[in-house]
Amino acid sequence: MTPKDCEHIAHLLFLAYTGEITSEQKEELTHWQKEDKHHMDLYQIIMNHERIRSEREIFLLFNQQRAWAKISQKTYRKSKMLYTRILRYTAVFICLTCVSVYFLYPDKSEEKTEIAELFLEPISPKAILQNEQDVRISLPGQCYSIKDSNNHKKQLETSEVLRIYVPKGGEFELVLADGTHVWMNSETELRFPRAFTGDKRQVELVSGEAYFDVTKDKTKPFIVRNKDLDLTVLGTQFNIQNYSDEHEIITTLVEGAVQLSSNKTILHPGEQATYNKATRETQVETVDTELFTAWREGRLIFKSTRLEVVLKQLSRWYDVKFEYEEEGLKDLIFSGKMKKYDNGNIILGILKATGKIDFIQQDSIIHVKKQ
Amino acid sequence: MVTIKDTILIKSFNEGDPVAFKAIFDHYYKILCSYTYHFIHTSYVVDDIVQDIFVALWNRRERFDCIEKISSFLFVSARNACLNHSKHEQMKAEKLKEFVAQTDEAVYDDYIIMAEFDQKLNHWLESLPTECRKIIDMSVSGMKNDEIAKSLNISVNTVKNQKVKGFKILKELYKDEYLTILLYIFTTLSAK
Repeated sequence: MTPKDCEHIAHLLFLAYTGEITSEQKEELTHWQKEDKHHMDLYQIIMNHERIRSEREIFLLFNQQRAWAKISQKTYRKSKMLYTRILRYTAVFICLTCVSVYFLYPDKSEEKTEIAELFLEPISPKAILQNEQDVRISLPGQCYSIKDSNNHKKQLETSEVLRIYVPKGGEFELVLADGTHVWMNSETELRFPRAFTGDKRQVELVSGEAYFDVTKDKTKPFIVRNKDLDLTVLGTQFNIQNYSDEHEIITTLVEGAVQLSSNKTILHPGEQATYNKATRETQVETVDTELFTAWREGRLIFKSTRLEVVLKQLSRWYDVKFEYEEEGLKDLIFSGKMKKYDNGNIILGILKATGKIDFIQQDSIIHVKKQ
Repeated sequence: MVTIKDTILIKSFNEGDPVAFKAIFDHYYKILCSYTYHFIHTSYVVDDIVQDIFVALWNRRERFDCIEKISSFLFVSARNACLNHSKHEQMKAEKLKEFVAQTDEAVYDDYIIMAEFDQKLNHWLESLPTECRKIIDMSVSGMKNDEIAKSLNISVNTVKNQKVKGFKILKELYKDEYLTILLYIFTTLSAK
């Protein structure tokens, strides 16, 4: 018998055991039983309740999910290698395109500048919502509205303060109870009330980067808090970057007005405040706001940006780690526009094609080398 | 449910598709554990052996052109692993004899039929909600409705209702399987 036949017989036996067998199938099974005396014995053995009971107990001894997790760990690197092989062909193509892009748009402002431009496949938006009872809800899709959505209403009603977390590689749009839109970048955590009561609207950006489009309400100022700094807002659009692994909080104002708690500085549109967590000093300068808010529209723009900053962004998007062979590499300057939603390896292929740096992948760590 | 007979599945597996690998794993993991457990009664040792077999399967994934070869690779590897293990552990002589007997092809087939049967039962039970699973579990182990009701301290009607629910899920589960079986009967009949 081939394993296929065996499986077929097993299926008939199973249907017979559960009583779900049709008359034709029953006939087939009887035929099989009569074929061989030995089959009759086997029938008796398999259908024996005692045997089934002890077999059930054995099955319960093993944890399938845990075993799979261990196996995928052991096979992970091998599959990555295959992936790299496929990518190699893609990379050749991209390098060619990239070189032409380089000659088409040379950045004249700085000699050390490299150019890169590309567009590709999406990373999935995702977020986890958690209430005070520690119930976690995984939010599908790209957007969730506390105000309008009826989903999860029951779970949320019991809580006053909710927590939303967007992991590495994710991004999410959240609509708060007052209609304020919050675009959350990768690795960002926000705490916010289910409903705004009292005379202020207060949320906490625990860490990460978010772009706020605040609904105007003069009677209830909107305050974005975090450990080091409070921002008071009256209907406006702005971006805050406050990753816990960076020592600066960068607030960029696009529209309206924002006041910083640190020194009562008021930002005007087009201005950016950089607050140093260690020295508690704030610096204000005029910037091209597009550079800092483009991520929300799925774009990433670098203009004379250090490699370290570029790769830090990439590591959040694609959930990888970079390690530098030489500290000096961090200071290489790059400029370029990229579409987000790219395959991370392809972006690396393009940075590589500038001829300055090389990447070598080892498991989930990417080593940055001089070319 | 992914049908294990699928040739597309084998092809994707050959090409290194982790989803195909997972489908094969899901089908064979518990069967192999149970098979191995009959000879080595230490679940963590069994778990390690079976995991290693799957890793080995993955590393040789290009070599299998049909599910038969995968299935026999898994079982033969498990058998070899048990024999190797027994050398270390001084497995009892009679067990070992039983083992050698298993190389007889007919007995080997028996084991696969039995294992596939158990796997189907397990797959069904794991797809059920907890309450329903408890009742069906007792029922398939041979307990009568009133016995189940008594031991769980619930009414016989509840037992009946939960069983109806369980069987409804079973039908749903093997809906596609019924189709493939019909097709199978059709092809074997027309081949004769």
